[in-house]
Amino acid sequence: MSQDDLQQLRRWRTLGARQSENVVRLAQRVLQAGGLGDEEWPVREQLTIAALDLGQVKLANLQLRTLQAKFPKSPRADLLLGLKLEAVEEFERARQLYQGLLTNNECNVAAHQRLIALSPSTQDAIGNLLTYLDTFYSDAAAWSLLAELYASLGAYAQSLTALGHLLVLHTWDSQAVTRYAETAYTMGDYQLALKYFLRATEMETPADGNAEGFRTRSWWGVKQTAKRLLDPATRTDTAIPDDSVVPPAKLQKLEALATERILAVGGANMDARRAVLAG
Amino acid sequence: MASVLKEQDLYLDPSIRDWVLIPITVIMLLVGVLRHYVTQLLNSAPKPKPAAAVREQRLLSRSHAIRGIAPLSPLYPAQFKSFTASTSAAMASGDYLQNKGGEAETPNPLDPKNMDSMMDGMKKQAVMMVPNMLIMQYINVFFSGYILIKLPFPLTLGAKSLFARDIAMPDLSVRWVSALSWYFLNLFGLNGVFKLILGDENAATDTRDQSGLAMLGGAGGPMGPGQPDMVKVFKSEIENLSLADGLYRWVGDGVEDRVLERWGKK
Repeated sequence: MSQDDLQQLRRWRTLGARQSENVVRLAQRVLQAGGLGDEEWPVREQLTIAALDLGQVKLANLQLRTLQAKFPKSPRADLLLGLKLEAVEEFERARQLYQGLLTNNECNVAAHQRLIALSPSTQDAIGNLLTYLDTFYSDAAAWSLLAELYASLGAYAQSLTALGHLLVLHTWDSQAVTRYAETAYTMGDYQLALKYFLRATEMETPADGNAEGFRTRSWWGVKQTAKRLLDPATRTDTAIPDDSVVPPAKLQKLEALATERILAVGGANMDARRAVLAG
Repeated sequence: MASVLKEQDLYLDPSIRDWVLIPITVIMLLVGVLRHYVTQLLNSAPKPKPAAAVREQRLLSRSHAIRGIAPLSPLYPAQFKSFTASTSAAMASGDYLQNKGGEAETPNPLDPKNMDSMMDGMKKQAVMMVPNMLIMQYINVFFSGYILIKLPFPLTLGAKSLFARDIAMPDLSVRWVSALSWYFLNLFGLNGVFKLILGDENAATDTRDQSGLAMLGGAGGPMGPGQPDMVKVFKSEIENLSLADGLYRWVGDGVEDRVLERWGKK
C-alpha cells in the first residue's frame, strides 16, 4: 500500500503534476509510515509545495522546518521558504529572498521563475520573461506564459512569435498547435489559422485515419475558419506564401469534412450541435 | 595416454582458503566501499556557472532546436526566416559571448579557478590509485606464490599469464589461480557486487570510467583549458543554420490535401 503511494508521489513529482489535495493526503500517510530513507526529503518538499498550494501554511511550516534543519544552506530549502512567504502574502520579503538566491547563483532557474511570477504588472512580467528566455531558451512553459501575456494585451503578432518558439520546443504538442491557430484566427489571418487547425487535426488522428478521434476543438476551428474564408466579405490578406493558400474548392470540402467529423464523435445534445453547425 | 590427460592433483591447505582467499576478497570489497565514501567526501559541490556562460551555451541549443526540426518545421516560412535570421544575428554579433573582448583573452592554465577543477580530478584519481597500489604491494609481499583456487573449467595456455602471474611453474595447469591473479580478478570482477551494495552510481567501480569522468570534468569546467573557441563554434553554427534553410519545409504545406486524403475526401 505504502509502496504504491510512494510510487504515485514519485510519478507526480517527475511530471510536475499539481494534484495538491492528493499529495497532501498521500504524503502525510507515507511520512507517517516512515522507512523512506533518502526519499523522505523530496517527499517533504513535495508536501510543502502542495500544502502551500492549498493554503495549509501550518503543515507547510512543519515540513519546512524539518527540511531547513536537515539542509541548512540549501537553496532548494530557501526557495520553499520564499514560497511560504508568498503564501502568507509577504511578497516584498519573498522578492528579497529570491534576489539573494540569485546573487549566490545567477542561474537559479526556480528563483528567476518566482521573480517573474511576482512581477507587479503584465508589462513588467513580459520584460522579465524576455530577459529570462534570452538565457533559458528551452523553457517551454515560459514561452507559453509569454504568449498568454501578449495575447491579454492584444499583441497577437508577438503572441504568435512566442507560440512559434513553443512549437519549436514542443513539436509533439497538438494543443499548442491549436492555440497557435486560434491566435492567428483572432489576429485575422484565416489562411494561416486554417493551416494550423488542419495540422492539429492531422496530429490528433492516428496514421490509418480509422480510429475515432475524441478531440474536436481543432475540427471546430477548421469549420469556423473555412466558413470565414468562404465568406466573400472576409479580408484574405495572409502571411503565408501564395502557392500554399487553400483554394475555395478545397475549403468547401474541408468545411464538409469538419462538419462530418464533429458529428461523428457523437455524444449528448446532437441537435444543439447540428444547429450550431448549420448556423 | 591416460597419464597425459590425467588431472594435476594438488591438495590445497584449507587454511589457505581461510587466511588468503577469503581475506583478499573481503579486503577488496571493504576497500571498494571505503573508496566510495571517501570519494563522496572529496566531491566538492559543483560551482555555479556564471550567467554569461550559460547564456552562451543556450544560444547554441536554441540554434540546434530551430534547425533540428527544419525538415518538417512547424513554423511558416516568414516566421522560420525571422527565427533563423535573429538567431544567426545573435551569434554573429558577439553579444552572447562570455568574454566580449573576443580573442584578446587566452585562458590561463594556471588560473586558480582552473586549478580547482584540476585538483578535484587529481584527488579523485589518487583515491583510486593509492589503495590499489597498496593492496597490490601487500598481496605481493604476503601472499606471493600461493595457489588459491582451481577454476572449474579448462582454459587455453594463453590465459596462463592472467591466472598464474606470480607462479614460475610453466607446467602447472592453467586452471590454478594464484593470489595476485585472484586480486586482479577481484579488482575487475567486483563491479557487479558494488553496484548491488552501493547502487548504480557508485565511485567504487571502474577505474577507467572514473578517470575519464575526471578528465571531462576538468575540460568542461568554466573556462578550463581546451574550452572550444566560441567565436569559431558560433561561426560554424551560423553556417549550419543557413544550411538548414535549404532543408526547410513547412509542415503546413499541403496539409489540406493530406487531411482530405486521410479521410478519403479527395
